[in-house]
Amino acid sequence: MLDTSFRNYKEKLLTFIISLILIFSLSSFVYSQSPGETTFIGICQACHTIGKGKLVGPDLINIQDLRPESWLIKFIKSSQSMVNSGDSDAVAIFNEYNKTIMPDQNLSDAEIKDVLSYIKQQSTGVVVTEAQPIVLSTGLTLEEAKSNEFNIGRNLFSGDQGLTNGGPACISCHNVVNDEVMSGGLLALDLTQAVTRLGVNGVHSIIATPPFPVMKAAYINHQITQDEAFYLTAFLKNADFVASLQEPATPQERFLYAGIIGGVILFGIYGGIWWNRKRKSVNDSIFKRQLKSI
Amino acid sequence: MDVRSQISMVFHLDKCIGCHTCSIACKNIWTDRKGAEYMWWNNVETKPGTGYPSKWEDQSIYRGGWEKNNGRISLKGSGKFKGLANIFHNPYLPVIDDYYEPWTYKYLDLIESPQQDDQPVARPVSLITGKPIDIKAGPNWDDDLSGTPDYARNDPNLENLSPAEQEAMFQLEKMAMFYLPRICNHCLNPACVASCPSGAIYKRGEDGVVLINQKVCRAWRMCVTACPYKKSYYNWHTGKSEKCILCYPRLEAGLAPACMHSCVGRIRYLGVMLYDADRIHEAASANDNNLIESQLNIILDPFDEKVIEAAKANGIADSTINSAQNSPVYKFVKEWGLALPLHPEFRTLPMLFYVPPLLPVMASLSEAKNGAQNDKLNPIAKRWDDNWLYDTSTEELWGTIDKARFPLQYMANLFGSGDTSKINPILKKMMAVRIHRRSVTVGDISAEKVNSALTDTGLTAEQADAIYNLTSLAKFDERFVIPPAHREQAIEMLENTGDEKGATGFGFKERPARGS
Repeated sequence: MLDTSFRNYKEKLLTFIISLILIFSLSSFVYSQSPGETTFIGICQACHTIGKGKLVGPDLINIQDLRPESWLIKFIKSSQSMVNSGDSDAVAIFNEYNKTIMPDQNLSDAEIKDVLSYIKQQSTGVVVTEAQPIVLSTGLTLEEAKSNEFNIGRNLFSGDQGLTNGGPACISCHNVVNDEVMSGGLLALDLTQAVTRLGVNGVHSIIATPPFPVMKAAYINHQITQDEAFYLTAFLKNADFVASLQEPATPQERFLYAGIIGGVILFGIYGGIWWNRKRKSVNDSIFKRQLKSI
Repeated sequence: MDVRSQISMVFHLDKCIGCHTCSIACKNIWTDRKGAEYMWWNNVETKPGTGYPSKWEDQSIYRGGWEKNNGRISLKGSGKFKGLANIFHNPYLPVIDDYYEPWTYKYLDLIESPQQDDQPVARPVSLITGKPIDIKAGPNWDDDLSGTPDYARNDPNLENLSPAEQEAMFQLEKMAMFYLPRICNHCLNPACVASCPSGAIYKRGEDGVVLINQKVCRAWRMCVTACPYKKSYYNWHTGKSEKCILCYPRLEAGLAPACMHSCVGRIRYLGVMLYDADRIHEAASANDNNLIESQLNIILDPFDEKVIEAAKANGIADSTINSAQNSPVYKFVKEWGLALPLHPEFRTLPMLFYVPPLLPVMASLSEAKNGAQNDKLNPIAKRWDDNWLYDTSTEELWGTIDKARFPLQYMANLFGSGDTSKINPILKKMMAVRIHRRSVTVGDISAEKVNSALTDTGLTAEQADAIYNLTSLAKFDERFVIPPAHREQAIEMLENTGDEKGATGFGFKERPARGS
C-alpha cells in the first residue's frame, strides 16, 4: 500500500518536471529576435529611435543612406576619437547634440553590421513621426504635471519612496541641486541640468531603459516602471527649471559651516558644564617661576 | 546596636620629630614599585604648609569628602549621579605636579666617570619618564623651612585666622611649625568606598581596614577624587588605584604596621575600638558643631556588659574584646579625651586620631603699643617698629594657651572643624599633666597650683600619671595592642578552608588549575 502510493507520487513528480522542460523549450521557439534586434533594443534604443524622432541622439531612420557603413562602424566603436581626430561630420553631430558623448560600444564589426541591417529593415515603410509624448498611465502629460507629480518624483529620486521593483534610489549615485533634496552621490553625473542637456525625451528614455553600463546593471533586474519614469522625468524637468533659484552654496560648504557652528556651540556647552574644573596643578605658579636647566 | 570592631590609631603630634622614618619604612615595603614611586601611603607634612598633594585640604579644588545639603549627606565630587556624569572626565583629580614628579639620580655616572678635571655629578632623572629633569618639588618640599610664602602661607587651614594671628605665626621668622604624619584614616564612613563605580573598595568586616580589590578595580579613579585626605592613589603602571592597607599582613601576624613599628618618636598608638555601626549615618550627618561628639558617641565602652554581649552576638572574638579593653587608643580618645580626628568636617568619620601639639608654650605673642617705649629711647638707639609683644611670663596658668604662639584657631581648623573650644581643653589637660609631673619630679610648683591645674581640667593625679606613662614611657606592647586576627574564621565565612589548603603559599600567586 505504502509502496504503490510512493510510486504514484514519483510518477506525478516526473510528469510535472518533463512538462516544465517542454514548456520552457517551446517558449524559446515562440518568439525569437534577430541578433541585430537584440542589440538595438538592449543598447541603442535608450538614446535612438527608428522613425520616432530625436531622443538623446538622432533618429536613425535610413541611416544607411546618410553615412557610409565604414564611417558608422568607426563612429559606433568610438565616437570621441573621431571627434578628436577632427572628422567634420562627427564634430557637427557632437555639437548639434549639446556635446553629449555617445558611449563607446564594445561590439564587433559583425554585430554592428547586424544592427545596421536591422535598422535598414525597420526603416522601410515607417512613417516618420514626432517623438511620442510622455504620458502617465492616467493620461496626464508631462506639460500638465504639477507639484504633486514633482513631489512624487522627488521622493522617488531621494529614496523616501522606494521604487516598485526594488531598484536603488537615484540619489545613491546622482546629485541634484535642489533645496528639497539632500546632496546625492558623486559616482555619476550631476543631473541638475540633465533636461537642458539631453532633452525631456532623452532623459525619460535613459530612465526607462538605462544605456550606461553601471546603471544598466543596477536596474536590469529591477525595472523602473513607466509611471516612475514619468514622475522622475517630471521632477528632473522641474529641478532643471528652478535650478537657478536654489541655494547656491554647495552641500560640502554647508557641512563645513554647520560643523564649525555646531562645534562652537558644543564646546560652549562643555565649557559651561565644567567651567570651574581644575585646569592645572595648584603648584603651577611656583613651578613656572623656578629656574630651568632642561 | 550593631557592634563592630575597628583597628584604630592615635598619633601624638607633640612627639613627632619629622624624621620621615615611617614614610621610608612604608615606601620600602609597599610602594617601591613602578607606577607607585610618587605614592606615599604614609607621608609627613610640615604645618603650616600645603601638604601632599598640595592643598589637599582645600575641597573647593579637589571636591573630596561628604557635604550636607538639606539634612542629607552626599559625596561632594563623585557619587552616583555626579560620578556617572563625570565618569570619562573626572575633572577634580590631582595631577602629578600636585603630588610631585618622583626622581632618582644617575649614580652610575659617578662610578663610571673617566678621570677628568671636574667632579662627576649624578643628574636627577624622572622615575616616570626616565629622562633628566629639573627637580621641582617633593612630597614635603618645605620640610623644616616653615613660613615660606609658597607653601606655608598658602596653607588652607589659615582660613578665618585674623591677619594679626597670621602675622604672629610667621613673625618669629618661621619658628612656629609642627609635623603632621598622615596615613589612610580607615574611616567609618569612607567616601572612597561610596564613590567606587566598580565596587572594588571595601571595609574589612573583622578589623575595619579599608582595602581596594586589585582584581575588581577598573581605574575610574573616583576614589582619588572622593577621598578628602587624598590617600587613594592611582598607579599609572598597573592601571589600578592603591592605598594604605594598614599593613594587614603584618597585623594578621600580630605585628604593628611598618610605619608604627619604625616610629622613632614613638608617637603612634594602635588598638581596637568597638563602635555602633547602626549610628554611622546619624553621626556623619550631625551638625558641623556637633560632628566630633557624635563620632565619639558611637565609639562604645568595651567594659559595658551590654556592649560585650552585643559584640559577642555579632561574632566578635573574646580576644578582640579583651584587646579593646586594653586599647591605648580608647584611653586617648574616650577616657582622657585627648585625641581628635583630623578634619572631622569632611564627614568621613576618620578613625585615626591626633593628640594636638602643645608646642612650646612658655612664650606667646600679642599685640602691644611699642611706640611709647620707643619714645623713651635715645634717638640713635635701634628702634623696633613692630607692635608685637613676645611674652615669656608664666604667672598665669592658662593665659599662654589661649594666646599661644601657634594660634588656637589654626589647630581648631585642623582638628576641631574650626571650633577652638574643642582644642582648648585638650591643651589645658596636657599642660596640667606637665605641671603635675614637674611638681612630682622637680617639686618647685606649689601643691595648690598643681591641684587647681588638675581640677580645672577634670583630671585626677592618677589619670595624669597614666597619661604621662602612656605618653612618655610606654613600651611596645602598651602602644600596640593588636588582637589576634582570627583570619581562619574570617576565611571560613567566605570559603571552605579545605579548598585553600595546599592552594596558597610558596610558589603560587594564583590558585593552581586542577584537571585539564
